Amino acid sequence: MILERLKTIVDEHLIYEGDLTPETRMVEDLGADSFDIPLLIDAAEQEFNVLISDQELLKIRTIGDLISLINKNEEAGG
Amino acid sequence: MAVDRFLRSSAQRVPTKTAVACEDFNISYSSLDQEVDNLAGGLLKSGLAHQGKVGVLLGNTPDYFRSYFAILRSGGIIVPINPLLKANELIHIFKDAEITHLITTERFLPLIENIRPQVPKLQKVVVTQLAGGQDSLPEHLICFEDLLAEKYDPVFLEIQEDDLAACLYTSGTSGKPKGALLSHGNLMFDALQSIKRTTMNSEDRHLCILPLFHSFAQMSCMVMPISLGGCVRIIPQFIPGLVIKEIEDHSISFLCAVPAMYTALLSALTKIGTYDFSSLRICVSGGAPLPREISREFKTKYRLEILEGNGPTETSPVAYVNPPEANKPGSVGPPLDEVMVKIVDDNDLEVSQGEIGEICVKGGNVMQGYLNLPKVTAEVLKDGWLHTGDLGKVDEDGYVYILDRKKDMIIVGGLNVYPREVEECLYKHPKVLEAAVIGTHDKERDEVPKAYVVLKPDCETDSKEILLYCRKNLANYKCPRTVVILNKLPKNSSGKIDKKRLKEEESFGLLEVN
Repeated sequence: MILERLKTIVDEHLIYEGDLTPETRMVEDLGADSFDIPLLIDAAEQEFNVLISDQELLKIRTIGDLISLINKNEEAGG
Repeated sequence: MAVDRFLRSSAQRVPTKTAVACEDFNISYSSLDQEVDNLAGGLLKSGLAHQGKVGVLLGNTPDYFRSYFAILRSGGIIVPINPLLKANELIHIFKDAEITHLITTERFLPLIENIRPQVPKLQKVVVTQLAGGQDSLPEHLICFEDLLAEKYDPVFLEIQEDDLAACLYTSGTSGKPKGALLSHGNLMFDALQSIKRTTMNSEDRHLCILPLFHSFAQMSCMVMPISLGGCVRIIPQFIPGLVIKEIEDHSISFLCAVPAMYTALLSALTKIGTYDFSSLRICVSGGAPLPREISREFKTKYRLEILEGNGPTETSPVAYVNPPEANKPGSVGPPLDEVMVKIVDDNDLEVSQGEIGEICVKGGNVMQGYLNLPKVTAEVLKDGWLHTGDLGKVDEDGYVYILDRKKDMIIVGGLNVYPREVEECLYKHPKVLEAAVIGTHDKERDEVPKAYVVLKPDCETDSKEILLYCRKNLANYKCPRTVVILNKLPKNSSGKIDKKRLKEEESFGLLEVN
């Protein structure tokens, strides 16, 4: 479910090949640069009503990393 | 005298002071100096020849500092490599520079192993954070941490000021990136004059937010602060909120960034609301023109004056910077001391003061030439004058204004992209008949490439396929953000694609889309 909602966000911002999966890499597969990533995170924060810290943001390499953070922050109450 | 002596002398003056810090890690000047000796000794032991080329393919980490100074200390030439480049772009650089050694991280190892058969000159690959350490490694791989740990006596080699220190690849108008050769003398001259102009001092605390493969970062965040014994904090990735926090938490006093970063910081500051920038003494912007409204907003809202400077990679790279005591927004400042600037017309004749022409620079920071390209070197370096390709003027006080570009170039978040290189990639697409790439405004990156293509007869495709094709062959920042398929491109009377008309028609929405 999170993946599907993330797909809507990613599709609005970036162009990529194949399916979006937890293994999809932000830079290599999505072509995201250091300006795209904060935009995606902002959109994800709004969509899932969570707050992702800048330190956490540094560690995001894949869509799976982002899903884990959303899960963790949702459990912690945003 | 070589660039690494800057580190050696700071290690003698302030041995216990923190030289470099990143997240929870920090290293003192004496420890950094010792590790640089160890790494230099290890590189020499592994067969690095005098003036041999060493590629550095690393992100923003303290290992960049270790590698940079160790390569120079061992008499090698550093070839910084943009980690965003794709396999075919890397192969061109490895072959052109005849790189024998590479320092990289495990993350890039699969890519390197993939291209290694095509770059036979590459002998040794030194890998940081190698899982499993040195045990049973193939002969060409060396564990970076093992080299750091093996203690060497101080390495002192005979290095002359005109020995080469760096080969910096810049995108080229001709399509392929070319290597600008900078000597130890060039870099030392530029560092000392830039320090003097910006009033950087030994007490300054720096935040390195620029990518270290970029010449602006190497000079302003590494060579200059290390020569003074300053403290440099590195952040691995530009995240505006993190930059603001680091400035506050670590009392950063000196910040260098590209305009796109200042724009992103402004937007983050508006969101955050509270901040403490009282430690921030000097902010420098370079790499692209700084929009006046950005500098005005920083000054009025945050009481921060941004000093604009500039210079191409070929000038090490600083050629002009505004002095803090006499900043003129809109100008890139006067040339550094002992650097001359003249403005010339199309016949290479100097124009009168205030007139617009090509900006030429002469001084101790001007490169030695382009690697393997004597003809191109002769075209841009005439009688010691570097023809920058920037169009501008000099005012009555000697301040330089960059107004336009003579060469067809797009600056994407501070990184130069030559449309020709992107167009060559598009022409390789089997369905593309004609292609033209122009720069369009982008809120985050200032400018981004936009491609217009005409397809071959009876061919069908969509813009996504063409964009993904570019992504496979070009670094992401060079790829067009938009691809438009047209029935025809505007041409001039001689049948050449008319980019000026293309830009005009684009801005008025007059293009006939397929």
